[in-house]
Amino acid sequence: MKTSIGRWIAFALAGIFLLGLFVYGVRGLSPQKTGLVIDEYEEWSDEVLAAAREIPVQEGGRVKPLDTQAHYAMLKLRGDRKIKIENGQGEKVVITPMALMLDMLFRPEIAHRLPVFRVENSEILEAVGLEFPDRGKRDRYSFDELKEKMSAFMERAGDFQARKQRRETLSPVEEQTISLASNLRDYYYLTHYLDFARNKVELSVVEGEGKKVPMSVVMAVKEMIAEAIRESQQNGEELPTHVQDFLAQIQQATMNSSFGLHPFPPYARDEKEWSSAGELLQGTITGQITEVGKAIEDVKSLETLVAAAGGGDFAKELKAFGERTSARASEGEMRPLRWELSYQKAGWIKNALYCFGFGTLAALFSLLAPKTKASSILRLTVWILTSAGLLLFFAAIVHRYLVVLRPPVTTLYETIPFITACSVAVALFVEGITRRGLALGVAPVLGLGGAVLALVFEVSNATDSLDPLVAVLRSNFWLTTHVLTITFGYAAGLLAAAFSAVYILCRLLGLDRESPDLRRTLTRISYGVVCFALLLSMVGTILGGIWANYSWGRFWGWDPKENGALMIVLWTLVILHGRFAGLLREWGIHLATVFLAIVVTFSWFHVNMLGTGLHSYGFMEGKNKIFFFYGAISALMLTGFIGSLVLDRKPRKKSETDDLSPAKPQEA
Amino acid sequence: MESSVTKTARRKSPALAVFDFLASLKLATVLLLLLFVLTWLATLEQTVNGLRPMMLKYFNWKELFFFPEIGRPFNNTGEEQKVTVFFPMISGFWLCALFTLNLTLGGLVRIRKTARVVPVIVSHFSIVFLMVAAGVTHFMEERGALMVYEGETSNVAQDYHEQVIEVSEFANGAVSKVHLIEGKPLTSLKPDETRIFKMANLPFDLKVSNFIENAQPMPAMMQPPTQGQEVVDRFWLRDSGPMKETELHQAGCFVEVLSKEGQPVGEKIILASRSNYPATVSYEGRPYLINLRKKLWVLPFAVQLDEFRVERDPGTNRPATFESDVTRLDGGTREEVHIKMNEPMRREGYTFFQTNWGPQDEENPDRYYSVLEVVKNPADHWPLASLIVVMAGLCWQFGASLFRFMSKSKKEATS
Repeated sequence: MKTSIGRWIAFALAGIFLLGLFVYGVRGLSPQKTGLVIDEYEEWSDEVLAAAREIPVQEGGRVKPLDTQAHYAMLKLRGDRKIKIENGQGEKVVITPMALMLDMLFRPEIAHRLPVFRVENSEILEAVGLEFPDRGKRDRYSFDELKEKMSAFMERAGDFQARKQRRETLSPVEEQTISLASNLRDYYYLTHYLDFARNKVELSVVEGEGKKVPMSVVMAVKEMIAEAIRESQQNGEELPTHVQDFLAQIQQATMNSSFGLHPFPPYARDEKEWSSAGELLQGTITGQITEVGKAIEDVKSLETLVAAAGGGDFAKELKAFGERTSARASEGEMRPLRWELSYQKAGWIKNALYCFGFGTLAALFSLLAPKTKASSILRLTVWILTSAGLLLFFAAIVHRYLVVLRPPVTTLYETIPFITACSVAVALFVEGITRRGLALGVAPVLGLGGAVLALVFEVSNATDSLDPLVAVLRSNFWLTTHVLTITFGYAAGLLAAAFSAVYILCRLLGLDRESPDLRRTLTRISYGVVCFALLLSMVGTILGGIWANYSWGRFWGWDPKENGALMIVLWTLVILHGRFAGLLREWGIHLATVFLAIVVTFSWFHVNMLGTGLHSYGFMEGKNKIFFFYGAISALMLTGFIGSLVLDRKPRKKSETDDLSPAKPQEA
Repeated sequence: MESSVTKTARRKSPALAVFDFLASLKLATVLLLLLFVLTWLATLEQTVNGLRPMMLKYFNWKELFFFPEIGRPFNNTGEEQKVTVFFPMISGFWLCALFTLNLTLGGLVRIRKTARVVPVIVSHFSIVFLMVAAGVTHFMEERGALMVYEGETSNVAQDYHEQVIEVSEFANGAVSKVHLIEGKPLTSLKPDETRIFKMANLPFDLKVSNFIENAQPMPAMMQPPTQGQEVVDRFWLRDSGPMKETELHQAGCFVEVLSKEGQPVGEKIILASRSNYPATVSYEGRPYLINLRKKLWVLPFAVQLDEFRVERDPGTNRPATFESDVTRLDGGTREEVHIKMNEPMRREGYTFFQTNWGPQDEENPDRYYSVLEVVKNPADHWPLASLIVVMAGLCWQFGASLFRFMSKSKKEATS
């Protein structure tokens, strides 16, 4: 095959890869089209959204911006970050997580019509007698469509939960029923949170006559109410119906606003737990809160917000609410919040995606015109854009560290930016040494893949990755040493596989003919990075064992994650020893190194999906994508293997043999 | 010249040929490949059969090979489906033993002893050391849980798996001596097998039948036997089958007291780990307690729980940290020790790890209890030593290689 044709094929293949990545990213991040029209839907203004975003709330064990809670609430309920609808004027409206949160809190009647709930399998609905012929097996539904059977969902989910507690294995549909019931409950509490402010309390002096008063007023006169009830009870009289109704209203309001949102910092400095409106109500009425005046002011501030949302300066009131609660929060709580807001604003990963994307395109076009001035300019562009992307990734890692002040790799999500940054950095380092343009071509592609994966994973995982860690992981020394080493090992393994993939493609497309030492260089680079992967994986694995030994008394427990790391160590050792034993020569080393990508992916991602009884649809979806990846790598290996048989069927000249492969098997 | 080499090779003694084979790099590569496959299958099998059953199957020294079972891949429904892989996988025990032998012979004994190979030898040595540590742990480690309430003292740890029959003697109204039937002879009993255990220091023997590793005693009046199972004392034993988490197994069996002449004395007794109370028997006018339970082992010192604390992440039920203040009571000595996650207590070869606590369903219980995992492992610190050595060896080896690679690349770029 002519080299120029090979280049065009390589260009086309890279183009297909990029297109695939683009489709994967777009499919993972784009909202489902709804075709829904809500005539009276009015968009929240930018000022309102900006003011709401910065309101501090406590959730998941830490204080965070309301924007973060809204973001993950929407991901958990709906599985994406946007809802597209049409308003009465025929305008397209994009509902963001913050807008949805405001709808749920302040306009529940509109929120009820939005397709907020992702149902993984229509069997869940059919089991309670709900059928929607116009919907797919996996689709999205509004609260109005599901509310009729809400109690049936809860009942079934309760049964399944009880079975789960008895350690029975549940089917995926049963697990998904529990998940849907949990989402319905969360949604219910958010949409009813401010009912007390919307509906007020009907206060009757005598039966039949009454007027509606704000809850804050009721709280203020709670002593009088309590006294009246005490007197009534002392006289042995039954409470009048209107008084019973009144108490029931308070009880209902307390229940509805106890969960969902905790925006009020504690009144005492030494306390850490923030309160919801319901907790303030209950604490005031039961006398558990001593600072009644402050509690009343807090509840009143929510009533003011509700009033403003219905026709006032809502943005101003939201800002005032946020400033008021922020002033009461401690500096230790507000410092991370400010860092988190700036982290969200920065959009490091998204910007890095653009840099790597354009870097990849520049690398792609430089392939078509090698050794020309244009190619030199394009290579410089790749250097600049890839370095910029790398810096943005490192900025994201450091910025996240500043939010939570713990080692930067503690969750599966955080491994993605770290592994991407490490592999790009090592690729650029290798390019700095070799100056062949090979590693430079690989670097932006890895960066682009990592950036897309990070963005898509965040959506599909729907879990706040900045929340506090479980007790056993709270060891900065071990987290820093073990986790960073092992994930750096993953990065090295993937990078080595990428270089070997380049080798296979170059050989198959005849791109190695113009440059006689290209193959040798690629083999040396790939093999060197395999050695680096071995060093990091072995040290990381043993460090993990020592951590386990010192934390819970066992060096090795055959945990899937441990096994995955050991598999990387063993496979790299197979490559090293196979080469020394003369079992693997040039092609063999590269085919085995490409397989390392499967081993690393299994260890990095797949073992997290092996837990039985933990399947959800998103989970299975990811699992299937992993099989596609395995298939693609296997196809490349098979093609390479066939290529090796065809290309090397004639005895090669001595000068073409790889200087890395020993002439004969060596002894250890 | 060639023919003389061939003759030398032909003249190689069988012992040398075996040595060459066992020390060869080719064998090392194959063994590493098999260990890789074993680890992969072990990862997949534990998802369908559980961790301990997998380990017992994969590292059984009594068998040379086994057939792995894994969950079905490409399973869109997510339902768990077990698939047997018809590939005779070599037992992990023998694979590890052979690998250690190969590494010792090839990587330490036979390897060329040149300056450049020193870091390789160092790395090989550390891995041999690690494998030895794994072997020592496999055969000598003891592990159990010590549960103690605040204000109370305990000097016993309960094994997670081994279920034994205890026969307790009484003297002056208290238990004076405990006789044991160990777990291994019990678990080796087949469901329809009966075995007589000769109790050397007791005036009677015990005949054990119908031993079930995970059994649920069922009241025959309310739930009659489904498959004609034997009813003893109005109960029968339902086989609940193996669980993935075998530490949750609760055994059951029937026991008959036999005179030393082999004559049954009294009625057959039903024993069940799930029962909180032991069976009481009387022999020659003396009372005895017979109990089926997880094995207890006595520690060389006692631990008193002074205070237990749990701190939760604000607004959640998730524990941020939990810790125990204990006093170690060893004869007349008292030592106050603080135990928390990642900070165990190591004394006299035993390590106490903070592992659990209770009651967890109450926010502020009157009294907490703390569960400490107790481990005795002679190879406790060996992995750390191995890590230091392997890290030095690999850094030395690959650092030197990188330096050579960089120098060569620089030369090539210059030329």
